[in-house]
Amino acid sequence: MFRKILVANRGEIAVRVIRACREMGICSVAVYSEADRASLHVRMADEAAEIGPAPASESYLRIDKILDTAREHGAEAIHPGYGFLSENPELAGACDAAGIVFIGPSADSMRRMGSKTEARAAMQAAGVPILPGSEGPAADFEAAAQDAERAGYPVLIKASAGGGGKGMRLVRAPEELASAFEQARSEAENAFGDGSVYVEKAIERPRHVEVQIVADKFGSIVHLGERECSLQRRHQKVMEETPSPLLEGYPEVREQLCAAAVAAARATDYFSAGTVEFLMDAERNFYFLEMNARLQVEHPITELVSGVDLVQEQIRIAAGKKLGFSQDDVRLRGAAIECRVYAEDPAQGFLPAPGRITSLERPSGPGVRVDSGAYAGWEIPLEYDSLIAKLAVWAPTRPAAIARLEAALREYHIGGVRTTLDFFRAVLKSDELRRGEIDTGFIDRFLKAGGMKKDKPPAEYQAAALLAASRRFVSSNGTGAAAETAPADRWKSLARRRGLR
Amino acid sequence: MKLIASINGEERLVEVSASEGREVRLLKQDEEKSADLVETEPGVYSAIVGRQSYEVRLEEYEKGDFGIWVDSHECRVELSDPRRLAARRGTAASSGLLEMKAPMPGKVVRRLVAEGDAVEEDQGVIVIEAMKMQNELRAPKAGVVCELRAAEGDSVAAGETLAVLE
Repeated sequence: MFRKILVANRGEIAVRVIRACREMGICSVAVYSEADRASLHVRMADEAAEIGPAPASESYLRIDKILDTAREHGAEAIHPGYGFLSENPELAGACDAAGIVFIGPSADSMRRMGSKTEARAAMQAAGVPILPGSEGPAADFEAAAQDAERAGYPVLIKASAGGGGKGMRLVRAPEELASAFEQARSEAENAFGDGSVYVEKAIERPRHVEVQIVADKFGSIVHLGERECSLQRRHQKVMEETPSPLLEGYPEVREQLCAAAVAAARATDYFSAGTVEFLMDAERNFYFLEMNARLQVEHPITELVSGVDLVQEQIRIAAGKKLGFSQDDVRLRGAAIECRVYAEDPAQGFLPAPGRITSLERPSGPGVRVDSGAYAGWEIPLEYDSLIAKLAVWAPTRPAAIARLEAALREYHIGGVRTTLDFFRAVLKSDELRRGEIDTGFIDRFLKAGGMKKDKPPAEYQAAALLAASRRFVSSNGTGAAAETAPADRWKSLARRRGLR
Repeated sequence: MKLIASINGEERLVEVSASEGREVRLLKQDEEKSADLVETEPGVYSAIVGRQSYEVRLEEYEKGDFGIWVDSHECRVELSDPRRLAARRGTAASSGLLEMKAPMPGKVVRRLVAEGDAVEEDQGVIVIEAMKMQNELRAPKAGVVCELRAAEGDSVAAGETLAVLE
């Protein structure tokens, strides 16, 4: 087993990996940029090294600095977390060359899954359903029209060179194709400097369902069930759950889905933890979307229903151990839901809200889990994305999990910065969400329909607020009323009074 | 002590009696409410009103300007001493000038208008980048840009005035 692992990441995922190292008795090495010197992951690690100025391109994305640090500290393995270099075959390759173990799949596997065309070809060969569409970029309008006919309308025209909705157009009927094609082309050209587009079948109200797989270097591949990640805002996941509400009562579809994921992993000689993403339509037809060759943000919900510690498994697999369990050993129990807490203001269009966290109160209790790098007093750095914590709950059923999540949100208080906590409190009241009637457009529709509109607080709440504010105002104004003494001072004065008797 | 209280924008006159100890009494439009109030940790109060128990969290943004959360319900409460009415603010707002301030620290990426331009309500004025995202700041009302203070490439702090409209 490794004696020392370098964690090539930051924030909550670095904390997660360091926790696994602590549990396994492995020494952890944290790397940090100048902006992250006061981060939680730095003081939790056993060793730490600064790797550059704030911008990720000069620190967390610097393969050379990360490898130098690993060598200097004698780290035998590197865990890349998610994001940053976690799916960069260059880092995996550089580790191999340096004799350091990369905790993840092989560079070759990564490369194959990273190329959309290669991935689709591999999936087809493995019998995994893929979304009908162009084989590669559409050479011209005629080719696109043919691809669209074959795929069947409605179709999406998408940019080959990038995502985020740019260069994307929905086409419902053949007569709309020509203008949509031209618009998408020019938008893609402007956004990515590359106007190539391709055609893909469009699914109305799609659901994003993914399967967690874990595999060792000896060919054992096991799945740990699916996750429903349809609650997205602007193509970014905000809430995830397992099992998928759509598959309730359809165990055979779940079996097919998970078998397809295992086949996908086998087709790419995959090992370590990975996720196969699918799009699912209302009739429960599913299509391969892509494979994520890394640990994902939402892994906690799978850990909660399966009892498997995915990070520890990744470490064991990387160290050449055989997977300690077979598919028959896997027991998925209950339901789990996760909310991503972002430092964004839901009342202002989710504008990023960096700043200093002045107070922090985390929820707790049975089935409540918080993964976070935040602490009271932490100045949230501007240079990285705004995910500051994940709140996940487990309960025996989905309704119980929702109730537990709502209770946990009542206990969760982050002072000094605006966060998405208020958004979760509002969205969990939605009847559709509570019935599991969700798709990737749900949140955008919820917000458009004024879901965030706040009712006036009940009169008695306003009274309590006014009473507290008045007490604070009066005592800090010192109007002859005794100034508020902090609890610590009252112990002192009580002790003094007792001593005088 | 008499105070002018504004709760979520609604203003009224209240009378507060906060003697030594835990009791706070409030007289509001002939309705008296009293509470047993204890500050358990800085900014976190336990309020017992009659038989009801509440957890009240308080953040004082500026003197007398409070953000209050009662069980996740947010209230804005502003208190002022009527004897000190002169302390009420009256700055750029009264002179007809409107300052557009940076809502968060970041870097100015683009200026969408020039000094002297007329702008419509909600028209984009400046684009700021922070946390890997670009955000367009829009004119809160129609007017003329009389000053553009931030240049492209400038780093700005939260609350910094970026443009002045009239």
